[in-house]
Amino acid sequence: MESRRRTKKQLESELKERGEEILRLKAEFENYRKHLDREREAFIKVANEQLIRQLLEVLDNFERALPLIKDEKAIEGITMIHKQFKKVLEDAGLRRIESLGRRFDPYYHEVLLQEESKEEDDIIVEELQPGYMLKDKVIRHAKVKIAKNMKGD
Amino acid sequence: MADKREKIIGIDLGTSNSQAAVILGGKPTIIPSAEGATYAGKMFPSVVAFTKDGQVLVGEPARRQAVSNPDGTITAAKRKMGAKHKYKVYGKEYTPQQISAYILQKIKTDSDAFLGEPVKKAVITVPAYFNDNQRTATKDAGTIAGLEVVRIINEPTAAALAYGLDRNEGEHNIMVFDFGAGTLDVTIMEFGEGVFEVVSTSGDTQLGGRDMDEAVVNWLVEEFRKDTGIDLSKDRMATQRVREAAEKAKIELSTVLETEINLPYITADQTGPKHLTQKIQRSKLEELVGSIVKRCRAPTEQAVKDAKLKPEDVTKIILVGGPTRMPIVKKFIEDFTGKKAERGVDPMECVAMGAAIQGGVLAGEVKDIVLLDVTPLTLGVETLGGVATALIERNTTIPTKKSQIFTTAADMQTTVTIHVVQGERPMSADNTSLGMFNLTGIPPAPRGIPQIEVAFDIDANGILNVSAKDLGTGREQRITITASTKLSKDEISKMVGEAEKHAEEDRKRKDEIEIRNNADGLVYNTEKVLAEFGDKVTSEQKKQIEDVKNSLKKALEGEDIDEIKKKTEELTKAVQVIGTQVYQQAQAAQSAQASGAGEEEKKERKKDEDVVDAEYKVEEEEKK
Repeated sequence: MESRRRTKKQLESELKERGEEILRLKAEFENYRKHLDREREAFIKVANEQLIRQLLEVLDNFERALPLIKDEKAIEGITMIHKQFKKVLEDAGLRRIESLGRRFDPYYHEVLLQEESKEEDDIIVEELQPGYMLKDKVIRHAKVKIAKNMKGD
Repeated sequence: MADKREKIIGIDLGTSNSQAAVILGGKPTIIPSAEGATYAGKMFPSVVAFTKDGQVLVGEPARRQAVSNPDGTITAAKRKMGAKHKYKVYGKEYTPQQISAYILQKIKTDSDAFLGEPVKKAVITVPAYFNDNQRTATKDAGTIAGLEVVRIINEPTAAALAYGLDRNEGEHNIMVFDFGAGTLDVTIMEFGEGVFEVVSTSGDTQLGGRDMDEAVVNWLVEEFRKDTGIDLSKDRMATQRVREAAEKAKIELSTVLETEINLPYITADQTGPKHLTQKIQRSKLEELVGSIVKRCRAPTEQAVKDAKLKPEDVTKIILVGGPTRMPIVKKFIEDFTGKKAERGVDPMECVAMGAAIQGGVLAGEVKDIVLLDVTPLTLGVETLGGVATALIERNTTIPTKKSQIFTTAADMQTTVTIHVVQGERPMSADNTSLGMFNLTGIPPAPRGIPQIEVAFDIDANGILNVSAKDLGTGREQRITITASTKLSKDEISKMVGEAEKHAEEDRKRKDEIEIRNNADGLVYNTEKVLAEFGDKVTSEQKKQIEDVKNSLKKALEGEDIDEIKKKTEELTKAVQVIGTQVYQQAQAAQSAQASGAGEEEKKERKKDEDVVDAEYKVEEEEKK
C-alpha cells in the first residue's frame, strides 16, 4: 500500500515535470520562431529588394530627364552617370522587362491605356513606365499602352 | 481517426481585397499571396478575369489587365452573393459563388504551397448582416473551390477573436468599426460568457479609403493646374504616378506630420518639362478627407441607436481596415465613444487572423494561444553607473530562462547588489524596481575578476525567479517576484510610449555613463600599469602620466562630460608611452644579445611575450 502510494506520487510529480518541460519547449520554439522572423526580415533587407524598388523611381527620372537636356556637355556627363547607376543596379540582379512590340502578359505588364491600332489585339504599342525584374522576381510591372485592332483592317 | 491534426485555414473574403491566415506554432500567421506583397499589405484584390483566349486570372494579374478587358473582369462579386445574379462573360454564365470560388481556389493553392500539404478545411468570414442565402452561397463557393467550409463566422466576431476579446471576463458592448478600401461596416456586439452576439449593424457600401486617395489626388492635380495651367487628369501615366504618390503620402502621414511629394518630369509644355513638388501636412490631409470621415458619423450613430445604447455604453472598440490607422479616423471613433480603441493587432489583418484562430479552435490547436503569454516589458538588472542591462527583452514568450555573467566594479568588492528592474528606458532609475538583494561572501579580488552568473527564469504564470551565483565559490542568492507587480495594458503602453518619447535624452545619458565607465576603467588600468612597469619609463614621463591620470580622476568627480572625454583621450595617449618603452627596451635587449647564445635570446623573448600576454588578458577582461 505504502509503496504503491509512493509510486503514484512519483508518477504524478514526473508527469508534472514533463508537462513543464513541454511548456518550456513550446515557449522555446516560439522564441526561436521570433528569432527566425527577425532573421528573415534582416535577410530581406540584405536582399535589397525594397531599396532597389525605390531606386527605380530615381532611374525613371534619369530617363525622363535625359532626352530633355539641351546642353551637349551636360548630356555627356549625365549619360555617364545614368550608365553607372544602371550598372550598379544590374550588378545587383536588376533586369528590364521587354515590352514594346510584345504581346501583353498580365504577369509582367499592367495596362493603363488601350489604343485603336493596325497592330493585333494586345500588342504593346507604348511603354509608359518600364518594368523590372530582380533576378527571377518581377519587382515592378511595366505600365503599358496596348493595341485594340481596328476591325476590318 | 487521423493521427495528425489537420490545419484549418481562416479566410477573409472581402469585397475589395482578400487574404487568409493559419495557426502556425500556436500563432495566427498570414499566408502570403504567390504574387508577393503590394504597397497596401499582404492582401490581394478580389478580382477575377476571363481572357479572350480562355485563361482565368485571379488577384493582381486580373487587376493589371482590367483596363483592356472590362467585359471579362469581375470585381466585388461579394456584393452579389446569394442573389440570382449571373455574370455573362464571352458567352458563358457564372454565378457569384463561382466567381468567389476562383478567389478561394487561389487561396487554397497559395496555402498548399505555404504549408507544404494540401489544405482541405476552412473557416470563411462574412459581414454580420449577411442573411442565410448569402451565407449558404459563401459556403457553396468554398465547396466549388474544393474546400470544406467547417464554419462561417461574422467578420466582427473574427476581429474580436484576433484581439483576444473572447478571453475577457464580464459582459461587454463591443463596437467593431470596419473601414475598408470601399465599404464601411459598423457592428455592435454583446459579449458575455465567451459568446459574441451581433445586436446591430449599419454602414455605407460606397465609402472607404479609396475615396480618401481620390480626394488627395484631386487636390494635387488642382494645385498643379493652378501653378502651371496643365490638367494632369488627362494624362493616364501622370495620374497613375500622382495616385501612387498620394497613397504613399497618406500612409506616411499616419506616423509623421509632414511629407513631400516629388514627381520630376510629370509632364511638359512648350516652355519645357514640368515637375510636381508638393509639401503636404497631416493637417492638410485631414482637411481633405474631413468630409469622408464626417460621413462615418451617421452609420455609427445608427448602429448604436439600433442597439438601444448610448455611445458611452460601448466598452470595447475594435478597428478594422487600413484607413483606421489614420489618426483622424481613430480620433473620430474614440471621441464618439469616449474610449480608447483596442491595440496590438494589424487592423488590415485582424479578420483573417481571427478566422484562423477560429479554425485553430475547431482543429483543437488553440490551447497554445491561451497558455503562452509574453512579457510585456523588458526585464533586467542595474549595472555600473545606473544603467539598466536587459536580460529578457519585451515580447519574449514565457516560460523562458536567460542568464548572463557579470563581475565586480571595484577591487576587493565582496558584495554585489542585484537590483531587478522592469521597463524600456536605458537608465534603471526611470524604470520600475521589482526587487533587490545582495550576494555576499565573494572572495576579495581585483575588479573584473569574480564571475557572477545572474539568471532570470519566468514560469508560465509570469512568476519571475532571479538568482545570482558566484561561480568561484558556488554561493547563491535568489529572489522570487510574483505577479503583484503586473501592470495593466494602459500602464504598459504608457511605459513603452515614455521610452519612445525620451529615447533621445536617454541615449545621451547612457552615452555619458559609458564615457564615465570608460574613464574609470582607464584610471584603474593606468594605476595598474604604473605599478607594474613604472620603472620602464623616466620619472619625468611617469610624473606626466600621473598628472594626466589625476586630472581625469578629478574630472570624474565633476559633471563636465566633455572634460572627462578630453582627459580620457589625453591619458590614453600618455599611457601608451609605457607600452612603447616596454617594447623598445625589449627590442634593444634583443639586438644587444643578437650575437650572444641563441638559447639565451629565446628565453628573453619568451619572457617578454609572457608579460605582454598577461597584460593583454587583463584588458580583455575589463572589456567584458
